[in-house]
Amino acid sequence: MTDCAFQLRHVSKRFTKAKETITIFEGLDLDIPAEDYVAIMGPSGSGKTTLLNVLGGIDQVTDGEVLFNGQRVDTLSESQLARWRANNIGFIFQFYNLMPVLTAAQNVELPLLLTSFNTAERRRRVEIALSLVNLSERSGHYPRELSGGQQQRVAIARAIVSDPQVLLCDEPTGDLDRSSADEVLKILKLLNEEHGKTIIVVTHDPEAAAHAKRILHLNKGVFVDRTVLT
Amino acid sequence: MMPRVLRQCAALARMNILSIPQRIWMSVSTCFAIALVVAVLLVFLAMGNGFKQAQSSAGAADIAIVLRDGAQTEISSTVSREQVMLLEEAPGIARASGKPLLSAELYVIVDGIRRSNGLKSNLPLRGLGVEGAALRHNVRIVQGRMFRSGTNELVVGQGVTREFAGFDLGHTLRLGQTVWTVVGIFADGGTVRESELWADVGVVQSVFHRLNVFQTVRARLASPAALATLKSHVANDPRLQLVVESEAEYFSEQAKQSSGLIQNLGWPLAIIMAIGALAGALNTMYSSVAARGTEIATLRAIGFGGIPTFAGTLAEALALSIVGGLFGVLAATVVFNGYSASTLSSNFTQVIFTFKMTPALCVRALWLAITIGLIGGILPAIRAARLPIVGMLGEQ
Repeated sequence: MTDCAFQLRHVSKRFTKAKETITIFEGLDLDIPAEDYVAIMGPSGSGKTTLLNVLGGIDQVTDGEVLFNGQRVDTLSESQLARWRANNIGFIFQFYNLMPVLTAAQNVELPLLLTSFNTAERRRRVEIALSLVNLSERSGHYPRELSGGQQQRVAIARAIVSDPQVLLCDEPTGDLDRSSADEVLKILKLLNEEHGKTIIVVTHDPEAAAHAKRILHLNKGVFVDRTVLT
Repeated sequence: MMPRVLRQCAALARMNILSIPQRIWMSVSTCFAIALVVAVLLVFLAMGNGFKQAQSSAGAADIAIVLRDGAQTEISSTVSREQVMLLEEAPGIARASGKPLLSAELYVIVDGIRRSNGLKSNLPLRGLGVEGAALRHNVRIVQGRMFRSGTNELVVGQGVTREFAGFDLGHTLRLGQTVWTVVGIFADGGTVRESELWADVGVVQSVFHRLNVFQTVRARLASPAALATLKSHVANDPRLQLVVESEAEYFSEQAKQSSGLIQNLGWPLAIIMAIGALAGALNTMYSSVAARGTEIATLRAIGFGGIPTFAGTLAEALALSIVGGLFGVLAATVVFNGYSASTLSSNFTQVIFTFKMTPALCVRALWLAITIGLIGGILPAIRAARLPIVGMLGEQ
């Protein structure tokens, strides 16, 4: 067993566009311990989101190994990766990515449809997740009836409802005003500190990054600085 | 409890169907195209079915119809008086008070004026023997009375009065060189007989200069099984160059040729239109997948597999096709079920019939709609299932 949630070993990511090979990162090494809260910063095109996608198993590495809890995940098939994500990863996106035709509660319930929980158990877990983000009273509302901050809190509830070990957040405050952003960041901190979630946030926002335990600065596919905040 | 994968399929199907209003006009146009295909097919099927029923339900198993050997239709047949007299003595024919229940009949073509367009069309005038009406089980006089023998009186099928001018009860009209009076209107449950005019056979022979000639003989059989006896007798008598069929067989064969032709016209037309509707369905579904790209990628990132994504998209296509199909069935039924029409029969006379929708025909037309939905949905559903997650997640 290992304490590391994620380990990247000499990971490279390249792709070909118009006969030209573009390297996103080359020989990257990274350890993210369980219950860590990491912010990844860097200029646009530095490879932050690609790194997050690789960690989330929705993008493949060209070379190297990606390990989760000591097990390689870069060799899993599409369907194995889908199951792995359902069991271990919660995603939070910049634009919330809620389903517009579903209510807040129905959006939150989506990951539970991948489990064997019965209806009553799913309902109970949805209620808990929504209460954790202080949105119990909005469970019957559709995304269009919620503010940006509320929608992002619904997205957080959706990410945590199946109790995954890791939350991957891509610019979670990028589309929010300061007060809504602070509210979201407070919830993420709570989830890390009190619920032991490993949180990896990609952000441009220094204030959002300041809530993390450490900040990794990525530039041209290389970690140029590693700041430990706590 | 519902298996997990089915639960995911149901959830995504529901989500896709609920999101149809976001693409309302494109979805409505697809439904409309499918409705049109279904309606056109159903109208043809109902036309063929109505025509078939008008013909085939006219025939009875215990009535024999005798035609000249080689004649396919009444109009091309001739039976001489001598042959009729020989048939009166033939075995297998039922008798009452020692007399054979038989009617030698003449079938001539006269003109009628259509109410709808004022144009002339052929109508059959049938000269009946004394037993003629009694040999038609379901015929009943609904207005007036039966013609009297030896007079210029006509009884008219109610299909004729509906579609042709001048045949109402009490009217007089000129057919051949003679003026006739309509003394009765008869009904026969919508069969081909309601397209006929009936008069005394002797008078028709005289007016149309066809003395001593008939075209068919109808005879009540002692039992349906007696048909074989009569057939065998006719076949073995060299003076009778005739063929015997049951009335049911005769009408069934007539119906098969014409209704098959109508229905065979309907299917190719519907299939050509279905190809157009299919293009519309494909376009709608590809647009749907494109519009839902971020949603699909999000669900895939959460952990939903390709099968539920595929099923959800296919369900949307099927929902559109079923709704379109049901509208098509409804429109065709409301507008055309029971619609009265006429067409040329194999006797070169007008057969009046009504379009008849049946649940079986509706189901057949709905299957075409579902097929359009399936084919139109399957390729976009495959695209949805294979949509790359990366690149679609952040699109707004």
